[in-house]
Amino acid sequence: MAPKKNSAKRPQPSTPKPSAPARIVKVQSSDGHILQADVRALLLSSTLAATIKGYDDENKPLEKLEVNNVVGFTLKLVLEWCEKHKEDDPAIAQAEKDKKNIFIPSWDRHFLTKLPMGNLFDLITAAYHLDITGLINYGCKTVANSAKGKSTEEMRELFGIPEPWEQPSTSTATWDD
Amino acid sequence: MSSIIEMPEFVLEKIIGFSNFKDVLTLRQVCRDFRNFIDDLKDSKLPDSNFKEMEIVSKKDENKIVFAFADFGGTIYRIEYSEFGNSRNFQETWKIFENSNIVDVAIRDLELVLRFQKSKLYRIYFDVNDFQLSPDSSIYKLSVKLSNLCIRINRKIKTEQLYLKKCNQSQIMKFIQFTDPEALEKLSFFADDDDIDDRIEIEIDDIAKTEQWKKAEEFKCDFQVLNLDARDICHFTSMSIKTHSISASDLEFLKKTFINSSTFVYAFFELTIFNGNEIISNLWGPAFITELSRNWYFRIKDLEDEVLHIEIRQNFINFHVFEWRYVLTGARVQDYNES
Repeated sequence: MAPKKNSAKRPQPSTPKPSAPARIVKVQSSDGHILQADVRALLLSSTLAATIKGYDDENKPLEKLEVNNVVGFTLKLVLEWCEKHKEDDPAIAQAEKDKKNIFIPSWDRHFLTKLPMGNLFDLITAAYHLDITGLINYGCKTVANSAKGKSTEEMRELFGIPEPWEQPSTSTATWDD
Repeated sequence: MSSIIEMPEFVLEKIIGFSNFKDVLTLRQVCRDFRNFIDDLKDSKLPDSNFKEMEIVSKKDENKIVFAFADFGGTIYRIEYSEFGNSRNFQETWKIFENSNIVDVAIRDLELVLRFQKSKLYRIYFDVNDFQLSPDSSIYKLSVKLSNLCIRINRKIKTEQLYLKKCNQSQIMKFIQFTDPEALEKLSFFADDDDIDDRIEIEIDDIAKTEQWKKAEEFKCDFQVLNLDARDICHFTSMSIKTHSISASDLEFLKKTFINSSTFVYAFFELTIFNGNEIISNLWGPAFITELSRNWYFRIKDLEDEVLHIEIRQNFINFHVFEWRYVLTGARVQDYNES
């Protein structure tokens, strides 16, 4: 499916070659936790990539990035995902951006399905704030998969929707009974 | 975050886009916020229901409206709307609607399902006039409400075949314009055998002006077509039509069209009366006569191996293309440009 001659035409990652030493920076969560990450992993987030570029353009030393809308627990998961994907070809995420049907690689499937639903929601929301296309897609697809074939009641429980809702007469026939 | 509804709208849209359509319908029932969110989404954000066939039927003997949706895997989903109980039955669950008109409930359901159908259907089938003579029934209004839905939905449904049972001209116009002309291949206006006495009559001049008509390849009509114009039908490669009569000059026009076509298959006409035999013999030369029919054979311009056979048997006229070996022994095959 991916012959060698095509790979030459693909846009190459603008990140340093793997042999270059990793550039590690500190990342601080909204609740004050300080974590460490490889800059190449952080570049998967368009938001953080823009901040990093801002520092580099002005030749300012980058010591600590502050992520004000993600708590430490979730940020750790985000960084774990980014670390795993830091060498991915950005063209793949770009190509999958608006696709209706995507395939979740096995590492990601395992990583995402083991999370309790609430943590998965936080992770997807963080990916949304940080603009990480691949993580948004895999996360949303995981949520959609977990709802497959469930009844209204099961979905309500799975998705944390509190009390049953008195259905008005505008409700439609559903496939869940 | 403990609840899905706290997530950003962009994320919810993505989750819905990745779900299958049945799950989205279930999700829509989960809470009011979700229902409003799904109802406000653009159709393009919704997943494809990917049905193969849809049937919309009214049944006078059971006082019901029945929808059937079939997928490509062979599963059929059947929803019944009963006037008696003012209720809906779906997968053995009854729901009673105390304050809603059952036809409105059915129309709303259909409108929702149609939002999800994006890929091409093989067939859509409307049989909605069973209550035509029962103005006291609430289902009497089904066909009007359905026609209004076709206009309101403002989106063309892709289907290869459109079947309409016992429809009048204005209904046909609405249903036909509801289909995507790029997808439509076959049009069928039909009646059951026991309805033959009804003698439904239609004029097709307005219908013949639609893109859907012009682009379709097959036309089957059990209704009596009034004022048939050969130029309106000559683009069909297969057709079966009932009409009062057809002139010899129209038959000559059709013959010329068909022998110059490499895609024509058959045209069958059932007439009330035919009195062009003499003129036809002058135009096409002496017929090859069998016990039952008069026959002519013509070569087809761009086809070496096949011939056009025209058979007149009392009030039935049949044009069809077949292989040379089926030409009756002793019959002559005329060249396509022979005068």
